[in-house]
Amino acid sequence: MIRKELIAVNKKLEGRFEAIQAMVELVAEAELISDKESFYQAVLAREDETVTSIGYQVAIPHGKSSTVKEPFVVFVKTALPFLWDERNGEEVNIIFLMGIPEEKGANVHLKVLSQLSRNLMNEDFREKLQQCETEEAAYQLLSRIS
Amino acid sequence: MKIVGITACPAGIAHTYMAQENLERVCKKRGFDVKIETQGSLGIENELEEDEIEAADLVILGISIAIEGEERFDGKIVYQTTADPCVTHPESVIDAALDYYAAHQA
Repeated sequence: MIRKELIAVNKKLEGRFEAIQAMVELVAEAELISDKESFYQAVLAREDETVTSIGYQVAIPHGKSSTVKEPFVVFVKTALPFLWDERNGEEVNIIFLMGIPEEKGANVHLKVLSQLSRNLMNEDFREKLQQCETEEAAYQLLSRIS
Repeated sequence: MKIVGITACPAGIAHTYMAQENLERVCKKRGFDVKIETQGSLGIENELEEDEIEAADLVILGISIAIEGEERFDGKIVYQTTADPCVTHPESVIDAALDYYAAHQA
């Protein structure tokens, strides 16, 4: 489920909404959502509930929406860290945007997303992410998650 | 010290599993026996067995939504918080849970 077209490294993005919008664009281009705007709104609704940066310069905005055709994850590493959310003042340079459909169910894609979330708590894994200087390197690292 | 718990969050894809990972890691680091059930988009995983709950000294709930089967912990010492602090400050969550345990054990 890790797709090269959903990975961008050294992207110039400097704001939370700008970043989420750019990532939603990638998902829309890959045709993984049926309605760009309503998915964006689902992500913003989650943002309203709680800050999605998790420390270590990592943020994980995500949305659960019926417009999501299959679970996906977009990975962006920005050229420079930037303030993610004034509510806690953390800077981020690594952003994962996850999308999941409304319906529950065991599914290999969801399994990968849950494992990715667990891996993000691991210092080694975060270091390897920070070392990815190309889309290919990020793709190789993320593809190993299972 | 035997600890069981449950993590759950609204989308059920990120915080549920990050919280589980952190609680288990911190507990193991401290030499505790630990098992954390997840109630997320994959349904219930790592489900707690009756005897595991029975044997547990302390239950930690890191939940930001209503969970299934909370009545399983009736009569146990249950420390409840939300999923977020388990992700960002797991050490403090465990400290607070242990304080709670110390204050409530018979």
